[in-house]
Amino acid sequence: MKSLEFRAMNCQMLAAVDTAHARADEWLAEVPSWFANWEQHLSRFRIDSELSQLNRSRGRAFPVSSVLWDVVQAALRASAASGGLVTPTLLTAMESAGYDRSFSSLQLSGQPSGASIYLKTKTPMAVKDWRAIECNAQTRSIRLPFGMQLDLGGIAKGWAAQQAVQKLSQHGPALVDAGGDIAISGPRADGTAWPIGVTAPDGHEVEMLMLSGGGVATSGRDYRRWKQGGHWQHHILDPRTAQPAQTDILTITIVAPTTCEAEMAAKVVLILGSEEGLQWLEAHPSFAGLLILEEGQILRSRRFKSYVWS
Amino acid sequence: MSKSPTKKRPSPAAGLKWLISAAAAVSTLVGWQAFAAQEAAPVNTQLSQPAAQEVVRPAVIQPVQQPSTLKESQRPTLNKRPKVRVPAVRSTPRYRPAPVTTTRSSR
Repeated sequence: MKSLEFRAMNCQMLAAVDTAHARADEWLAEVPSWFANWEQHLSRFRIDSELSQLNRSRGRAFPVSSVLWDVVQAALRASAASGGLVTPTLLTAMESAGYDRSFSSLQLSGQPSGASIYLKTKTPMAVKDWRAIECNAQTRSIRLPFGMQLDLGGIAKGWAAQQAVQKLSQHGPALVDAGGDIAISGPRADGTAWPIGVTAPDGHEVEMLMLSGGGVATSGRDYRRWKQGGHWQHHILDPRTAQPAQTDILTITIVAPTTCEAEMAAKVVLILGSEEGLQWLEAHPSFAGLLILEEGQILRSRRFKSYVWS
Repeated sequence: MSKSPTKKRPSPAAGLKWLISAAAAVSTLVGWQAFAAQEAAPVNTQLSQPAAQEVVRPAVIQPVQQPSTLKESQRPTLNKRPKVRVPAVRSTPRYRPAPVTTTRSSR
């Protein structure tokens, strides 16, 4: 097996292909350029990205590339499947909560190092309704209501992981980890599953997943948090309140048929909290999850054990 | 004229009867001895042992010490059977694999 680690989308990435072919390193070396291209379409932190241009379209129909079109469609499917708990329309509320720059740029500009950063206080803004987004498949254009801006965040990473693993899989069984959003093309070359460690916020391994396909996503409020008005904030907003979700879950890992679905389900359960979130998981048979609570307690959905190494 | 006393010879039927009686007496005696011999034989109360089982005997038999001379830890305990270690059956050894990657939120 050959693998390559690199940074993209402000995250640590890993691409692996299970082949002994002499050109494997050459194939892997192409992967960072794919992510760089997608980031140029999808980043909200780059003023010249295609997404930033769409966000500045001020109520006009905006023709988009196939990349932005696909990711916006994936985000809208996630909104529909989650009943609006996951929505791409959180950007204004996110900036109001203080998350108005990328963490890496804040660290470079002299802010305290690490994942916890102090930001200025703003008044919370109401979240726009995702159903107001108009998409025209014929013209491949998107019209955002005036004042609405999109943040494709986790869905963009999940989509990128899926795309990269699909492209890599033409050379052999592949795995791509886009900052915790993991996509798997299928079983390894010898027919076995891919071992994936589930780690707690302190770094120790809680469980070993054995997966032969699909996606995994981990979401949490242990990372990318900041202090505002004397209180810790985190980047998972509850669209019902436009505030960081009040939840007893510290991190959650979801196994799903696709990485985008895993990303959506992880956000839903995190926002709902452990009790309601586990009920939601059990009602959706295609998902399985492991929850780590504030006090360190670990909860698993009934189907999770079927993916665990034993 | 007096008749001289003559011995009355037994009839052939009576002779046969006597022979049968004698044979029966001998048979009974032999049968009783066989029964007696069977009764006297020790009864095997041990369970049959597999022929192939190998009996391991200690090479040196230690002299038995009187319990009163043994220390507490050396005294034999009752109802203590030697533990038999049964190896777990697995077709192939399984090792915990090293993870290809680990889950962390938004690294």
